[in-house]
Amino acid sequence: MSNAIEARGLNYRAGKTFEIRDMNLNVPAGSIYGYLGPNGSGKTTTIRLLLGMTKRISGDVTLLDHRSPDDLPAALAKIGYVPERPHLYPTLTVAEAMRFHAAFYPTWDAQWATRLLRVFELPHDRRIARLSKGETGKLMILLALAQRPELLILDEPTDGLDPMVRRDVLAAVIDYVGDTGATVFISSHLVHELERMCDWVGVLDKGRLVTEMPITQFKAGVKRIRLIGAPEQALGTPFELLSRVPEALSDGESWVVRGWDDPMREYFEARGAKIRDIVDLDLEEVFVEMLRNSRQGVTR
Amino acid sequence: MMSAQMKQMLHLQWKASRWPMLPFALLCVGLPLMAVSTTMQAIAEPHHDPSYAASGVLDMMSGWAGMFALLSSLLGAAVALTSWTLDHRANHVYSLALPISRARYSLFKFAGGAFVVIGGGILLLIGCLIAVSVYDIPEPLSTYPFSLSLRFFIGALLVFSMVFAAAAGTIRTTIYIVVGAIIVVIFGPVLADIINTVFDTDFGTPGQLILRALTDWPGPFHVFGGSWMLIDV
Repeated sequence: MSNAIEARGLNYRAGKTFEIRDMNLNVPAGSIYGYLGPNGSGKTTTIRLLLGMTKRISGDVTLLDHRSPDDLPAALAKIGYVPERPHLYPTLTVAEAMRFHAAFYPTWDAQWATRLLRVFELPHDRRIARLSKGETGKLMILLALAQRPELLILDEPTDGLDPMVRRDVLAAVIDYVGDTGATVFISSHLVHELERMCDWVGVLDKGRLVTEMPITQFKAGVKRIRLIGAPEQALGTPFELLSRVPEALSDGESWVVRGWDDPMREYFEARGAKIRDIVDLDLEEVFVEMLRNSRQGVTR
Repeated sequence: MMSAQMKQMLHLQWKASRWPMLPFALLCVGLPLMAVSTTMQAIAEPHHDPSYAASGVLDMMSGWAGMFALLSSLLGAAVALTSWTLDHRANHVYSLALPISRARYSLFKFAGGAFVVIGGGILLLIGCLIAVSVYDIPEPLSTYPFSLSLRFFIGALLVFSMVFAAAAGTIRTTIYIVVGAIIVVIFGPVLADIINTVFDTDFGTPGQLILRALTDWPGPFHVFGGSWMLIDV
């Protein structure tokens, strides 16, 4: 198994305003794949399509070598899923929810579930309806982890949680992955949060997968270059130009490029441009530039 | 041997329906008691002619028969709605993520609801047995606690099944069903009239045909057409 999740030619439409068109997604087995995208870009819809919860128009989905939807129950038995919104039965207590969940997952690890219950300081006899948002988030993670999944699908698992809970939740996921080598597919618009844990990244915008690649490659050589006398046409560049914008306080331009290497300075020197500054970008900045590039295109 | 999954689904159904079912439980036990006690009190009044006791009991019990049928229907509908309420609240996300087929999950849900309906039938039987044992039933009348309870259970199960199936779907599906029913009711007679005029036939309206198919044997609603009397000849 080279990919834990594979989607080929995935098509979906919701009304006249939103569609996922011809999406090809590859989540390598054993990776922590960050699925990035702004609000409303289609992250949750993609996950629901992958898990067979929403009907697609066309396309093939394979989860852990099981084709969806034909062999979906077998795949779901190995998948821990944490949706974006609380989905558990509110009338059950924490302990009852654990027993309910355990009945459906043969790989349920009762000892570890008890340990997580203690670590997360969850009241086992309290009804889910009366849990705080943070406690509900921790319970959903507990259930997903204690079933010992080969693949964790987390849909904005820390959205709306306070920093303490967020740290606990992510730490539990990282510990689990460290122990088992499971694959994690995690969607978020909180880019900085994923930067520390992901080794693959996919960027989604308006239902279109803009890019997917290892995070090292995603960030590799992405620089902001401040120029004076930038060439009007960016033709034959030895790097990938993600965006170029005029600077507000000077007559220069700011270019964001990928695949930068120092000898490429010659490109600008040959065109009479002067480099004022070269700045490294973090994942969030790369993400923003990637989206800007995707939406507006660049003048080359 | 009941599977662990089935046990959990029963537990879930119990947790979801126990409070909404409380008034139904009280009514299931109480209705036969009320029916028999009010009937017996009425025929025991001094001005009442004792020779007409039996016919008086029959008259009054036939008045209560509709209440048993109504309670049976309401019980079935209420259990069906409580079966799906929790799933609807979370857009079925949890159930769809469980590693079982949707048909199996629905079957578990149905079985859980059916157990609650059985509970209602048993409570009614208890109420009936208590009611007929407390009061002296005039000759030559007989009591039918078991057949009434069985009819009650079948009626409740029937309504439960129908509402369960309708409530399982999305709001859009429910709208389709309602719109379909409206079309049959409003446009059915017009369509039947046209067919009868053109082909010179005596074709009933679709509404009448459907009603007949449902209520005449072996139609499923035939159970509501029989006797719902706890005390009869």
